[in-house]
Amino acid sequence: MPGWELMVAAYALIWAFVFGYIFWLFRRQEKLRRDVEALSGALAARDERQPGKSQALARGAKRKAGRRL
Amino acid sequence: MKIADRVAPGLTVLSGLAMLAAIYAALLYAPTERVMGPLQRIFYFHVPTAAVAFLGFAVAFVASIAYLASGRRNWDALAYSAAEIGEVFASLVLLTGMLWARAAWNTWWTWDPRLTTTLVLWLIYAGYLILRGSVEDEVRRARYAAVLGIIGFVDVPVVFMAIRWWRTIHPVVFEASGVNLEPSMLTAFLVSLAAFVILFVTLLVLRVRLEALGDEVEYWRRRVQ
Repeated sequence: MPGWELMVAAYALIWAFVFGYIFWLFRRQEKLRRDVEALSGALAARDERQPGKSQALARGAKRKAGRRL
Repeated sequence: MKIADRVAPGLTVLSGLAMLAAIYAALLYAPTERVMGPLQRIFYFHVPTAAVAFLGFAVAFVASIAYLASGRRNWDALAYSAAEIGEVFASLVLLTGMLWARAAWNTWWTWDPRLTTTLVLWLIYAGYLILRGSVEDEVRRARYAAVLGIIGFVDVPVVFMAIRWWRTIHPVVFEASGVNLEPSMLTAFLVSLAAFVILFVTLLVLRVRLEALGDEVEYWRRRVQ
């Protein structure tokens, strides 16, 4: 294989890996965001049945998430 | 979460621009090397990926020590994120090195000290990632991973020094006596190195943010149950 073909292959490989990794990060992030929404929805549904308890839990979760980073 | 959310878009744009500059420097600005021809241009991305892999493992090393000292989850998340990114770049070092070796040495792989120690490094951190996926208990997982993150880092200086300690066919560009590069080639290399460091920081911020989001999901899940 001539040198320039191997050079192109090396650069293509680097970009495929980097973009593949970034794509994986964003896909996983979207999934986790959907999970947070689904869980907060489930908590809100429970709040309708047990008013007060879920609201206190939601406030606690928000405080904890804010402290993390 | 809030700090990471604020800096991530700016860092992403900055790393995109830096990468464009690096591509320009490596493919257009730097002159074609006389002996190896265009193949030598692999160097401008191969060495920075190695540097960034080492940087990732160094961050994981420091964060692992900090986790064992403090027990704080933030350090564990940072160590995990940095080790994973380091492993991505270590994979690229091995693959781009194999492409270079095919043309330069007429073989995809040889058990040269630099190549062998790099493969050992890759295997250590592959083990680190497998360990993280296989221990259920959060605290034990973080503690075992921290210990491996500290012990595994011992191989990084060995990889770096391999071409100085042992007889090797791997090229030596950076020597104690100076740098074996033309000034324009050195400039292209430094631009590329800076771009890869910015890319590393961007990926680290995104990855740590992902860990924080995962923790948030886990917290809500426990509360819902």
